[in-house]
Amino acid sequence: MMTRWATIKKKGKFPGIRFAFLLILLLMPAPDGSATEGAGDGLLSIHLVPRDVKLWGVGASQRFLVLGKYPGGLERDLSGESQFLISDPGQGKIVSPGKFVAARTGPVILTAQFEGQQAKTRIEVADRAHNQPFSFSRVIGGILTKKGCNTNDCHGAIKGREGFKLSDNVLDPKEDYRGIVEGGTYQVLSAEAKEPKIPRIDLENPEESLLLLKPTMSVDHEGSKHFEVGSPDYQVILDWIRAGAPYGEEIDPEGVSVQGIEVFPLESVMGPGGMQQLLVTAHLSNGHREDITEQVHYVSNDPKVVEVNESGVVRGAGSGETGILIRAPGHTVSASFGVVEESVVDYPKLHSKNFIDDFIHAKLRKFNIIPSELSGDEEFLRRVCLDLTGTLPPPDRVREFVRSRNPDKRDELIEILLDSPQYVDYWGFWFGDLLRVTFTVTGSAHPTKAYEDWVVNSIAANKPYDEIARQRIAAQGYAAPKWFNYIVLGSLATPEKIMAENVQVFFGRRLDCAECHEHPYDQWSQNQFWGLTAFYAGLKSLKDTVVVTDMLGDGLDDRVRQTGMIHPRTKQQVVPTFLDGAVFPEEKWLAPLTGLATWMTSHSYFSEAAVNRIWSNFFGRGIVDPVDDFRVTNPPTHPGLLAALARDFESHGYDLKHLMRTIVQSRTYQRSGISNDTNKEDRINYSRSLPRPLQAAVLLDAISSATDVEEDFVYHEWVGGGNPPAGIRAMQMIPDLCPSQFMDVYGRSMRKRPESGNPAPTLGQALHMWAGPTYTSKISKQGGRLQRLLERGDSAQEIIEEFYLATLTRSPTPDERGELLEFLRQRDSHQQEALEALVWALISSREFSFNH
Amino acid sequence: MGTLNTPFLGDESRLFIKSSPMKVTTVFILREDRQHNLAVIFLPVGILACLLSFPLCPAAAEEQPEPTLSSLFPLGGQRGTTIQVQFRGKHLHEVNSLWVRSDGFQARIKSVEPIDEAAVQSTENGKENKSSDYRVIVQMHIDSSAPTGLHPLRLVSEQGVTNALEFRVVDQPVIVETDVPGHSAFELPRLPVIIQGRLAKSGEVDGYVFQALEGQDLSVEVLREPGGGLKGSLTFHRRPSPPEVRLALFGPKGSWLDPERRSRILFSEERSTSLVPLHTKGTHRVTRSGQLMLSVSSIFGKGHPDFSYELQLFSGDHGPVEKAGQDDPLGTDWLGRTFDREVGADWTSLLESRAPDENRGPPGRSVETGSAEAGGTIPPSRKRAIEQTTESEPNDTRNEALTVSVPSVIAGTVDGSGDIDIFQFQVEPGQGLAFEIETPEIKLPYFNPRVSVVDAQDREIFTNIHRRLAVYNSMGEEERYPRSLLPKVIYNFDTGGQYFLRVRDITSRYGGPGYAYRLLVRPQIPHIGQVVLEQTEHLNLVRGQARKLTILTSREEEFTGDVAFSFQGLPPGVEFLPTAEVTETPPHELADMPVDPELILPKVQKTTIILLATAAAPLTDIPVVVRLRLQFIVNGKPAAKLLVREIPLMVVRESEKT
Repeated sequence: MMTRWATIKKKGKFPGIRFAFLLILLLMPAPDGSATEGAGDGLLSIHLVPRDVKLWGVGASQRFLVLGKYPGGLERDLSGESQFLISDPGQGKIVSPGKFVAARTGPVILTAQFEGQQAKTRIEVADRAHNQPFSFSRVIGGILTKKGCNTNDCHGAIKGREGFKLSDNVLDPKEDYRGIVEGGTYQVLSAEAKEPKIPRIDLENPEESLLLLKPTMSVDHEGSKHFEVGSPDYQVILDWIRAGAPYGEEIDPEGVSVQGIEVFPLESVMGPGGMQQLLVTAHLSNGHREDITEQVHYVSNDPKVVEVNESGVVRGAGSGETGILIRAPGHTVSASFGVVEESVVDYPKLHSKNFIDDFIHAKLRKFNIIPSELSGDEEFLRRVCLDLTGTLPPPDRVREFVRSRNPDKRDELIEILLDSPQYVDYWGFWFGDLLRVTFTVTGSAHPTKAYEDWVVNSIAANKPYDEIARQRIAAQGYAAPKWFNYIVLGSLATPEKIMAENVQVFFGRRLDCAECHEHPYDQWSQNQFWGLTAFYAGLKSLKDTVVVTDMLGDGLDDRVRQTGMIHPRTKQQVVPTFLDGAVFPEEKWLAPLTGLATWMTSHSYFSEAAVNRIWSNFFGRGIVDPVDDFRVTNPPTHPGLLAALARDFESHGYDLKHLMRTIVQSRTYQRSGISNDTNKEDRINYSRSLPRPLQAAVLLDAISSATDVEEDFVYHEWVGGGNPPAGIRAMQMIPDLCPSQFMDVYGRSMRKRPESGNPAPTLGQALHMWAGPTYTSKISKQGGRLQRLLERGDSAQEIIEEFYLATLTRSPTPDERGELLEFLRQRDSHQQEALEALVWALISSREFSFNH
Repeated sequence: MGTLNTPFLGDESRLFIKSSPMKVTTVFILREDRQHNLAVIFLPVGILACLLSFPLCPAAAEEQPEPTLSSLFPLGGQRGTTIQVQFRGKHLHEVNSLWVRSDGFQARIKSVEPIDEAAVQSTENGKENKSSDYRVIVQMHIDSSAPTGLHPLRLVSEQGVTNALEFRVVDQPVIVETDVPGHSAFELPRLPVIIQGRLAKSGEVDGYVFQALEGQDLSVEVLREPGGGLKGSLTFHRRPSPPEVRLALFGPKGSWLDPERRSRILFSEERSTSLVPLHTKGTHRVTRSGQLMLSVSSIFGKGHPDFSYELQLFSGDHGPVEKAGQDDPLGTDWLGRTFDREVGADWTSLLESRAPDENRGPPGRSVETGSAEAGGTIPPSRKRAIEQTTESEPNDTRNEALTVSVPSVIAGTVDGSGDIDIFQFQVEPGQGLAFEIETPEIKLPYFNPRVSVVDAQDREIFTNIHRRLAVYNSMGEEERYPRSLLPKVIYNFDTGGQYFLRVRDITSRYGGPGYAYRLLVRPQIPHIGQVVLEQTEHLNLVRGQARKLTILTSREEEFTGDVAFSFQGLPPGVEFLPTAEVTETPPHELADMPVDPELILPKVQKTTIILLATAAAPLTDIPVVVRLRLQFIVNGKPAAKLLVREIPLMVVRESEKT
């Protein structure tokens, strides 16, 4: 077999090589282009952001942006080139382009002018009932955050730096205060600081405080200079030390707190040298908004693409796409920026099938990327069958679909596939990977199978995903889909591990690092980690019946007073606390996981993580990628789309089929994989279909389907006898109970952790193609497709046609057909061997082993 | 202490079916009008030294191979039909008779043959004992007069009697699955139908197609799974463990992607619950008339010729066989420590009958309770008046608690997730009460009723959650506090006054109409609970050898009296030796609950006795039914008796050593 294939390769006549070559071309970097537009060219209108602003108290300020609208929905920041006027100068003043500072209460009109266009907005300055009292967290913590002192690459690192530890983004202001005022080195396993304790402030000689000497570089400081002696920030800190370094108020007397921060714009595109001012707004718990643009810390994820200064002005540096991270005490957000060097003349009008296309097209337009054409019927059919069912369409169905003139045939096919048993097979397998249907850690086949049945039946019943999640998170009782089904309670499944896994699966977030210390790349604190873990503190099982309960306090008393969970660092009892700090009411401690499951499934994290995971199946990457790594430093490529998908998912009752239907009906999904000049480099904006390797089980089933030879599976000896029923598919097997060298080589998940991505190709796969029995023995097996066609007396041309349809879901091109027929003609005396070589080549090709 | 041998005349009649050496069945009606021995040993006793001149079983008995049944197929048949029944087991080569204790059966042993090893080799990991496996084919006629229900069947040979397997007799048609190569699915003629099938090979899936009508409420229920007919201590020797049968329902059409692949239809139970599916029953409302297919397989495709199953497929609420109330002729287990017994006045009286009462009758007169035959029937005169209370909502708080008296039976329901039912009751100082809970509908482990009592100061006094100390789980990991739920808990109240009883599901997750309970609150009744005769479902005594038997007796609610055991109906030459080893087991594992652990679980008394077949004992060619009885000793005199178990016994010759 190897010799025959080698012959074909040498002659270069096999289409798979072409396709592989085509893929290489698709992945090659495209040549750069450059062009920028003049600000006034094509300007349609300007408008001000924000509009109708209310400011609280004299001295309050607000920065405004002037945005110019251009054809194609493009926008550009014109703030720096615009003129600003206020209707009554006594009401306030413009201190820098676009920044208004209130001088007295009352209304005022702000007007912006640019190139003969103007925009107006109303500003209302209201009286402030109380002055804000001093708060260490807000004032000192704010300066430390703004200057980047508490980032994870500085003193916000796990153990701090140079003996000085600050919590990331002032997550723990009390500990920060103690570290500054008392000194000492942070310890992971104890709340007590390690000796020697050297305070960072000097109350006797405030100017000699390290907190001032270091950032002004008056003494050596690895972190460079952050402010000058006498600067406003310097003065605030100095005054605070002189006042005795009070901690101040923990909570605002009016109970006002910052609920979240918002950045504008969330995404923007500019040319090299283009500028964009960011606006950062704090949303307060009393409903007020506050401009904090100048009180936050900005970091560009890739300064080669965009740079950002202390005031939040972004400047385009080089082509590409990246994010700006904005950090405020206790909060972090990000904004996406793209720099495009070439504009597209005559950008085509794009039609949308649904809201997915609206979001995708809008961003493509901004980036001057023209999407590929819609895929042909054959390309669409193969892709959608594999994505929805993990199954190749049989040749007759390919012919039938291609022949059909029904304009709705794609939508109708989608419904057929969503209702097929193969849909249940595939998504049962897919969720089996995610929810870890595995034998290994239970040591018992029966509960593993029962757990798999629950997963598969949930898919078959199209159970709402929030219900699946609730049942899984809060599983109690005997026949529940409890962790006992896949993991033994004990060292392998401590409460903290179960919690972290559930958060990873259902929130798409990784809290693991916060088990021992604050999360280095995210905003999760150790207290948040253990507060959430405390929900799981009561997990127990009744040994006689394997009934699982989650009552806190060990269930021996109906009125629980102890959670049984101790914080490893503070050694204090931890009570169940949600990530937002809300404490789970004590009267509900008898069923903590029910409360947790309800909270989790109603949180925006839940639906966003869910749609992102499902999305990744259809596009090969998540809108946030990796799909279980949502964090502020890893922002979504399409935040608006992610939010819209999540809201749509929620409003349709977390219906998985609805979500999938919405995705595969979109023109975005149905784009061709053939690139154009504008999108050949694009891999994250969904301007074309990108090839994705088939999962190991899907590939094995595809080979069985193409050759029409079932795989002979056996069970692992752990099962204790038994054989899989005839016709069972690879994706219906529990991986660690189904020995398969093929699937091992192709990187199947053994479900030791929740699955979150496709494995990379390996050398072993190439070797397996050459010599593995899966690729070689099925082809010539009696009763298989090839033998059947030969026995039926089909011509070589018919056999070629049939195998192209069975493997690639398309007919051979005229060139391919001609070359292959010639190839076979030359080997007329070894016709069967030549045909076997052809089949081998087809199932070994990348076109076969990828979905595209 | 002493022994007593008393002649005893039995009065039982049994139908005995015996085959001639030519394997032609003849029917004998046996009257047990022969002399039997009654032996009684008084307890408690110390350990007595006994120097036997006979080999002592079970070690000796294990050397003598006993005929043993591992399976039966089919598991049932229709009255008025003649069917072929296949028995499988070990050491069956000398089988000559089928033994059944009911009228209405005729049988002929058609063949006894060693099992073809080639047929089973692929299903087992090479450990099959090739020399001892046999298949016995019996042609059996079930007369129209045969009682419906389950009947224990045994085979008899010169090596003794086998264990029993249950055979069901029904009035309805029975479909018997046969292994026909290439036959993918059986067509069922009509519903309802009882299906007798077998998952004989690994990976086997049995398919049954039938016509269903729109609007029809289909039900399918596994009546018995592989191994379900086996009772007592018998296990599948060197065979795979009996698997769980899995049912699946399929629609009429193939899928677009594969015309051969029918779409599975979920049963209502699979579709609607938050639980993992149960595969032994299912219901489905047919939405469109057409041909449906029911498939039967086993978890992980386990198959073996021993894996017979029995199921019924029907339309409507009730099938031909009422599974919940099906007869259990082999069942002799005491239900006192289960959630299944029906608590109430009868139950209280039954407990009293298992307590020594010198006023109940003269010594030697038996009042037999606790056996299947005696049925535990209580004379009406002895039934106590017990208040009946029906729980009603709201009663989730102490202020809403319903008041109950002692004794009372409370019928309640955990209505939904988080529901808790609270009752209040008065206790006299020093009063000892028992709290017994029954789950008449949804059973453990699906419904786990947690019962607790709190005092007037809202302090929890005790619960029915039992925690034990330091045992090891199946993974070898130490589990410091494994917990289990008890169906009964007793407590002695030092302080009188008002107390509150709380009932809920332990998980706080489940509830509904089926989550019903009956809770009996009563004064404590010291009594004999479960009496277990270890590893003795039947007895084949080798002539000239002795056999050691172990009896475990639970002493419930601080029962402290003496009891004696006796055998009734022993055949000639079989003696009950005046030798016994009596030990009292320590209490079950220590509990760390704030109550006396002995009140949570009973003390268990272990008694060892010996049966001897003398060298001169006549061989039996048919089983003799002997009765093991327990007798209370009150004031040094024998008092009432309890039947512990009926045991088929044969005296057989010692097999030739090979």
